[in-house]
Parts: sequence; C-alpha cells; structure tokens
Amino acid sequence: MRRIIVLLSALILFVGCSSTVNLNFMERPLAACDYPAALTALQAHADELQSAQGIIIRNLDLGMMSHFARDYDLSNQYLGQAELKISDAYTKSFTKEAASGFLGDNAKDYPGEDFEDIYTNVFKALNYQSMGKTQDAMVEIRRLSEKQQVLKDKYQKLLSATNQSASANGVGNVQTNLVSVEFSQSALASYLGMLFARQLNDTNDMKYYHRQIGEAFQTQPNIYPFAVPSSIDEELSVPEGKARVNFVAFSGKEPVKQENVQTIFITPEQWMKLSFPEMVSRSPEVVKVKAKIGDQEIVLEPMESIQAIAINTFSLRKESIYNSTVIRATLKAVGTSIIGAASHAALDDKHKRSALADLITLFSSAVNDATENADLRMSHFFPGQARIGGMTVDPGVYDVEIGFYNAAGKKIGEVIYQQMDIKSGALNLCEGACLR
Amino acid sequence: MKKLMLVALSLVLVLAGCTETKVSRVSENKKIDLSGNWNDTDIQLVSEALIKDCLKGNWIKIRTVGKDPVVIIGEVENRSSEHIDTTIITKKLETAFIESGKVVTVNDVANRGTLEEERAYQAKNATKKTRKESGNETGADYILLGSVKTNLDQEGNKSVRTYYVDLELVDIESGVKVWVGEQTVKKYIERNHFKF
Repeated sequence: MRRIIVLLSALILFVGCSSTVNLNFMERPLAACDYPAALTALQAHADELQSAQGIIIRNLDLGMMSHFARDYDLSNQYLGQAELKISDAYTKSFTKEAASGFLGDNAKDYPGEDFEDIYTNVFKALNYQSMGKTQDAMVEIRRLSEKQQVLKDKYQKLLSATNQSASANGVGNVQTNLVSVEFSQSALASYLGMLFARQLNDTNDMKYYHRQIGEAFQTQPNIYPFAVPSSIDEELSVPEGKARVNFVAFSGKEPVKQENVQTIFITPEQWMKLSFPEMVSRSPEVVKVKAKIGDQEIVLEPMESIQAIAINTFSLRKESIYNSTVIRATLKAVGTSIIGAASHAALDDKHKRSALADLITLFSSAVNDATENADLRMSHFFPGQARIGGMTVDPGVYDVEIGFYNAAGKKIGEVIYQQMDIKSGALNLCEGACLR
Repeated sequence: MKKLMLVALSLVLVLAGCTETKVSRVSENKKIDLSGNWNDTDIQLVSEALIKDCLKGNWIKIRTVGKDPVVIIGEVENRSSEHIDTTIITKKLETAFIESGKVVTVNDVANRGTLEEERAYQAKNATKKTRKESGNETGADYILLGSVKTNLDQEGNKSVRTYYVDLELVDIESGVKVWVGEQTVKKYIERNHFKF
C-alpha cells in the first residue's frame, strides 16, 4: 500500500509539473525595442524553452524574434521549421493521445494554434520581401490562402467528432452548438498580396487582393470593427514618376492563455476538477503609430487585430477542448467513485478502517485534481495589432521613421530607416514593431 | 543481475540507434515521395514531356531554312504556393535545345548584367586583340516564357495537389506564340492520423 502511495505521489509530482517558462529576461530588451539583444537572450534560453514547451514554440519564438531583429534568413529557417512541425502535428502519436486521455492535453506535443500557422506565412512573406524575393513572398501569401480555405472544414469536423464522442460516453453536459467560423481571410495578408502583386506588375492579382481586403472587412465585422484604411485605394495607381512608400507597423502582444478552473463537489471527499484554457487579450501600451518621411507625417490606420483573430480561431477549438475536458474529468470522477465504493466495501466492516477508505477516495480525487491541468502553451512574440499606411513622395534618399505612442502621447518606441533610397516603380516597404 | 544488465544495455543501444541519421545513395531516376511537395520526380516528368513536345513543334522547321532559330530564356514565374525553382526546368530545356543541334540559345535575360559587366571590365583591362566588343550579340528570334501554378483540394487527411506547368515560345518581333506546352502533375496525398 505504501509503495502504491509513493508511486501515485511521484505521478502527481510528475504530471503536476508546469509547462510554463519564465521569459522575464525578455522584458527589458523588448521594452527598449532592442530586438537583436532580445534574440541573443532568447537563443541562450532556447533549449530550456524547447524542453518546457516543445519545438514548435521554440521555433516560432526564435523565428519572430529573428524577424524583428532583421535577420530575415534566420527567421525564415526557424519559421519554416515551425510550419513543418505544425503540419507534421496532424499525425498524432498513439501513445501520447492515449496518455492525454488521463493526463490532459499537456501530455501531447504542442500542435500550434491556427493563428500561429497563418501568421508564420505572413512573417515569412515579409522576410522574403525584405530579402528582395517578391515572388517567394507571394508564394507565402498563396500558401496562407490555402490554409484559410481548409480552416472552416477542419473545425466543423472536429466539433462534430467531439460531440459524437461525448454522446458515446454518455456525457450529457456538453455544448452542442456549432460555433460560427468567423475568421476566413486575413486583410493584412491580402494587403501584402496586393503590394507584392504591384511589385511583380501583376495587375490581375493586385486587383484581386484589393477586392479581398474589402471583403475581409465586410464579411468579418467582429474581427474588423474599424474602417478600411483610407490609403488602400491609392495603392492601385501610383502617379507616374512618383514613389510610393508603404508602412506596416506591429504593436502589442498576442493574447495569452489562462487557466479556467471549475470544481464540482460530488461528496465532501470527492470532487471533479475541470481545467481548460481561455485565451485572453492584452491591452496594448501603443495606441497610435505615426510614420514620417522628411516633413510629411501620417498616422497609420488599423489593419488587423491579430489578438482578435487568435481568440476567434481559438474559440473554435476551445469548445472541443472543453468537451474533451468534461468527458475526461467525468470518467475520472466515475473511476474515483468506483475506487471509493470498492474501498468502503472492502474496509467498512471494520469500522476503524472507514477513515482509510475515505482517505483513498480523497487521494484518488487529489490525483485527478493534479492530473487535470489546462494546456496553456502557446508562442510568445507574435504582435497584437497591425497598422498600415502609404505615402507618395518624389524618388530620392530619405530618413524614414515609424514612431509608436502611448495613451499619454509619449513616444515609447521608434524604428528608423536611415538614408533609405526610395525608388519609383519599386515596393518601398518599411516595417516597424514595438511589442509593448 | 547479469541478465538485467544485458537487457538494459541492449535497450540503450536500440534507443541510441533510433537517433542515428542514415544516408544511402540512390539512383537519380528512383522515385521518392516524402511530403507530397514538388520534387525531383516532378521536375523530371514535366521537363521530359515539355522538351519532347517543344522539339517536335513546327516552329523549328520554319526557321531552319537558312539558319537555326535563336531562343532566349525569359522568366518562368512561380505562381504556386510552394517555393519552386523554375530555372531547373528551363535549364533542362536549354540543354535539350543545344544537344538537339537544331536550336541556338543565347545568354539568359537573368544573366544580361553579368555579360555587360564583363565587357565593361574587358574594355578597361583586356588587350585590344582579345577584347570583346559590345553590340555584337546574337539577337534572339524567340523568348521562352511560362509559369508554374498549383491548386489544392483538401479534406481532413486527404488532399489532391495539382501542378500546372506551362511554357511558351513567343516570336520577339511579331509577338506571335509559336509554341505552347502545358504539363499537369496531379498528386493524391494521404497522411496518417496516428503514429507511435
């Protein structure tokens, strides 16, 4: 008996271990928008990050930080690896799936969230464009379109499978309404597609992506609650002899997953713990972004809330996670009841051993409690918002500045392109980020 | 005890063997599909078919009266959702043109700058006798253009990925297309739901 208790305690300790990782060391360089320093710091902790949260998160985090540190080739290597692993995660491990039936989703390899998969292509596209490879940048936009097309189908199937499994297990307390699939196209990706197509002199694609931007705003009003940026239409016809400068600014941070715990007491010694992840947004410190070329200054307009898309796409998966959590916790509670009943039956005739039977039931509930932990894993350095803008200037060499401002109007971050050669007939794309 | 040690050691060896990277040489014609993405087998299939079709086209016969037709390799755009190096296909076609003895090819559009730079360098540094002058290049009769496109149909673990490779030879003077070839590669890809 003592041996069993020791083994069970070890199990609790093992599975109770958190998969969270302390990234406080990133706060200072990120606050200072010092991305090369942030990348160096992250690389030093990469193994720790991987062992705690898996290879996908490691590659996503390093890929994003390399991007912001302007090491575009390295960023594509990391993001490419992450994308490949996310795709491979479709094939699930038998053993890990079986283990997750008892231990929860933390027992599985992290498969990547849909928004991570989608924005991997957005940032790979920006990487290719920064390396002067517009055709490759366009490949990433097309790949992203393909992923968006399969998204709807995937979730309808997933939820229907979970509901079937719930019915088969006799669990009634399962949400059965199909969630609406709101996110189906990224306006930011279409905006980039439009700019890349213009650079490639592909008028048909340029017009197609221009239309897609309008459609994204029109058909997904909850994801795009702001107006279509006014500069969009100007992109289609740049005056002869003039140069167009385009801006993409990222600010804030992606949402975080928080644990939502519900405890349902069946008897004083027996309870059922439901622990599932909730994705919550983070308030951005940056509320305004301005771009400046010489004396001309514009305010960049909101193009996409990456936070909103992350939460929306996760909400589709959240229901299936909730349902599997209910099924798992119920089955565990049933198991605990059986253990309790069996212990009482075996020990109850000797009155003084009744307390031991209660203790076994309590211990069994405690094991269930310790093994029910929400899977809070996700990447850390995708931005929360994207803003865009465009300015038409005479071709020439300019200092270009993107400034990030807080609610008090104080500039809290800036990105400067010194002596940028702005050319006519070229895509002069300036990107800046302030992850505050 | 000894038995236990042996079992443990064998287990360690087996596990160590699992992490080893194995490399083996295979024939260049062996068809190997790993991910379902565009690969060397597709390049081979598409290039062979397009070369065959192109070299039996009437455009060769028209120009062979007097002189061989001169072709310049233009751009074959990658309009797919994969990073495909289209120059592998055009290089194979160019090689076939030269080997056929019926078609002359001139420096690619993409390499023009290199030739200009070299002539500029020679103008400064080479002897008059060996210096190559500008303005003596052979003008091409036709330009080779084209594109690679993809289409994906996916449901769950099954997908059909289709590649459309089209090439065309355009008469530079008249703009008339003298040859158009298209090859399609259709792949059915099924991924496992589970692994151990």
